[in-house]
Amino acid sequence: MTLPIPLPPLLELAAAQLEVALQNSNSQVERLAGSVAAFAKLGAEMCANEDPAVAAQGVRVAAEAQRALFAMQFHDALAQRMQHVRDALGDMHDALAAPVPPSAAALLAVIRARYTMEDERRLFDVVLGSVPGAPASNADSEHEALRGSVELF
Amino acid sequence: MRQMVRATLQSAGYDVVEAADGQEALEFARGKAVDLVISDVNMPRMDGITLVHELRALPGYRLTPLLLLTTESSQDKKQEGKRAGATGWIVKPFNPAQLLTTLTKLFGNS
Repeated sequence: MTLPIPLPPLLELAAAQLEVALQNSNSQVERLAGSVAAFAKLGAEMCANEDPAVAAQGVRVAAEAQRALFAMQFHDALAQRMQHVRDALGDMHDALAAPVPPSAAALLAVIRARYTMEDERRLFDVVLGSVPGAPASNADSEHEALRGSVELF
Repeated sequence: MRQMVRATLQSAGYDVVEAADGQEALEFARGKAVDLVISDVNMPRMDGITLVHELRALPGYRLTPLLLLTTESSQDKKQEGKRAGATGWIVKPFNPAQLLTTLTKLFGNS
């Protein structure tokens, strides 16, 4: 089937829409993070107060701020995922516009190599099949266990 | 993400200097030593693993704790970071309290 409109401008448009969405959300999250940072600092200052009641409130404020800082990291993962989709759209646009287009396998390998999260690799493999030579994704349980982990070498 | 790391560290009394990417961090580091570096892996211009490698080549950063904070949990990438000279590998989302405990360990051991 041939589309009645050329595909490259549509891919470019989709990538541009994602870019605008990323920029808008980044500025709002920056503002929100600044507010939570101010609460975290206030909580730390209250913790050092001589009045035990104020210090106790400070512990609660600091703990709530830490919970908020943890929860807000959803945006970082979301933004990375959107960037990878945007970049994949760009890769497809460039491939279609190239005088000698790359092979489908080469294009898919480039797109998969951009991923930084196991969720992304697993989804790619489920939908498109594994790419020859690409590292296998971790098992679900292994990946979940690694979230938030700290390993000192 | 930088805001969240900064808020966590400042709430514990640490002074924080930020860089937008690896290249900017390296340029800063060439002029001044710091006690600790926490870097993302995926960054424009210079990624975190290259930054670690470059920092380890600087005289003032041979023993500095260099932590990589990333969504990347693959063993291959982690080993790459270790080979470059990273001190530790933290998989996002990071737990603020756990990060502060890690820093206490690092500074307590140095």
